[in-house]
Amino acid sequence: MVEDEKQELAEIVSEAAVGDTKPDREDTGVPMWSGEALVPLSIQEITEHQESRLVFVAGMPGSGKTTLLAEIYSHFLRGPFIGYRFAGSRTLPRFERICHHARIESERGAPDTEHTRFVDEAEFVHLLLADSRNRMRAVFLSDISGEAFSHVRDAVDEARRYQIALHADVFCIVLDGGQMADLSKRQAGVRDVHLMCQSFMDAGILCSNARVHIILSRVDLLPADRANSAWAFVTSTIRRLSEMLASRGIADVLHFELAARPRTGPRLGVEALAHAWFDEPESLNPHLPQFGESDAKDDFGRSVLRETKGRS
Amino acid sequence: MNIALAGPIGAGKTTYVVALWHFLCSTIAPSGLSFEAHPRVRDKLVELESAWLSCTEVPHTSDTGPVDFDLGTVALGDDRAQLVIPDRAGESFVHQWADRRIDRDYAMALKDAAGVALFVHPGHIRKPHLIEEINRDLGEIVGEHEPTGDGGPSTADASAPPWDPMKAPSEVILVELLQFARHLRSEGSSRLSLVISAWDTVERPGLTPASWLQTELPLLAQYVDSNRAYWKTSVFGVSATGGDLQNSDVRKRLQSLDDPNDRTYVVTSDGHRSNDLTLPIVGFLQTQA
Repeated sequence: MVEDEKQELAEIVSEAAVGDTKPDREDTGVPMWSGEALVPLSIQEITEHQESRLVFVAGMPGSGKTTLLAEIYSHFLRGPFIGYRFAGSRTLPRFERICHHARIESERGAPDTEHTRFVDEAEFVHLLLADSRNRMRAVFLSDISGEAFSHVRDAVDEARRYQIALHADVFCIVLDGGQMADLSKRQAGVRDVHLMCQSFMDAGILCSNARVHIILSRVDLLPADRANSAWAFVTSTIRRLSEMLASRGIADVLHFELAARPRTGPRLGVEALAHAWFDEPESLNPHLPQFGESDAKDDFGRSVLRETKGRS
Repeated sequence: MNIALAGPIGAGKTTYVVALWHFLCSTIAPSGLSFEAHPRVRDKLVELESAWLSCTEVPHTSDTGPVDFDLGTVALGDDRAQLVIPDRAGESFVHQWADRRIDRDYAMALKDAAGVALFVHPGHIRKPHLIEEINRDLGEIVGEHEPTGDGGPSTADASAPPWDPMKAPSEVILVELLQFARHLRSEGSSRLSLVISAWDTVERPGLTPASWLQTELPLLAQYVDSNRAYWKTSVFGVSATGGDLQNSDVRKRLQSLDDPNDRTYVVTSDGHRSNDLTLPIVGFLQTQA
């Protein structure tokens, strides 16, 4: 087992140095891997040789996708996280870059996340994690510009760029809680997410065997009072989205609430999502609270609205 | 036998080498490592040792240029080896991280080295300080503009400094250096000594080098722990100077010692204290033997 792990990590690094190096310059140093995000071609070989998790996160611009990645990485800078220890990464510079606007070096007055630049294909950040028995697990988390998903919303063919999502262990759909709280933006926001999902389904990327996480992000921007009509709108939106997925046979759906970097109050939901992404799928709690229960949390502190597994 | 030193600017690499050479030349190490023969060319070592003996700061390699220190022939039991320690400026290691390449000579030395000694100075650590931590400490309300809390519409100030890899947290750079080293070295396993220099500046009752590492550099601690199948790691606290040489009282006290070796000491992972400066490297020779 130990030898296997060493071999696996060596393969990761070896592959990196061969196919992911900075372009030659005048100096003659030995090139290492670039440290920037990985593209599907670079990660496919790795996933063949190593236990891995591939998480595809889809959402409109500003919905908090990259902030979530930054927060997960930042947890490891403080110590082990949800029972996992950091064991390596091929994308440390990328992680550092996406954390920049939350650090004092950015000289900002308030933390922020720089928008992910739009590129033609999916990009991923990488973490190698060790569990309590020192079993290694590679985790690839997509870091794709929200602009790309605007294109997917507008045209089915745009969704076909993301064939890698067919191999994802989890397909995440991010609903922006900040938009849900804004009367002038929420209807268009819901439409955007529905059309984005429709494109992915029509392109055959999001299909019946998918494990879907619907993430309600930025919940700190929603009213604290769950009886507020904004929450009724959220409830209705998630129900309709789940039903749309179910109509295509997508029944393995979990819901999460997230405040990855709230303006005030404690963070919410990062640990729960990380468990759902990193753990063995079998270890997920099948007995989750019903949608609409306020502050519903499982043993991991996971805030879960409803599980729709089995509904179709 | 080569030993690869690594570590950022001011990590204490050169000072350790000079103190180690003096120790080897002047005494028999409790570890069993003994000095057999002087190097044929030793002018650089002598020059640096003079600074160390007079209790002045040993010049950084950035000021003197890269050098492969030949410390002469050492023996451990029946084994003999010529001890060579390539020393590079701390800046070069940070540039490895930023430029994503390693100069070929050092890469070759790293590949063939019996072990890697990674140095870190407690006073020269850059930590990943978050804006929200600072704001919280100041008791301020974070963000008066459009909420940015969960990655909302970016309000990134165009005039804000762009990300600079040279300002990355120390432990992120150190982890990357070890990942690079592992890539360049052979399969199997490698000896790694994590040397916390200027240990006298952080030492307090109950604090071990291992616990210091976990507290101060948690990402690095996780990395070496989870990769223990490859990196056979020992953590040491080393005081190769003996105290703060900027303090004239301390300097006079150190200068007045009859035996300069009394200035120095090593604390092992579990907190055991020794004056044997060979402890961070003797394991490398045992691997060779």
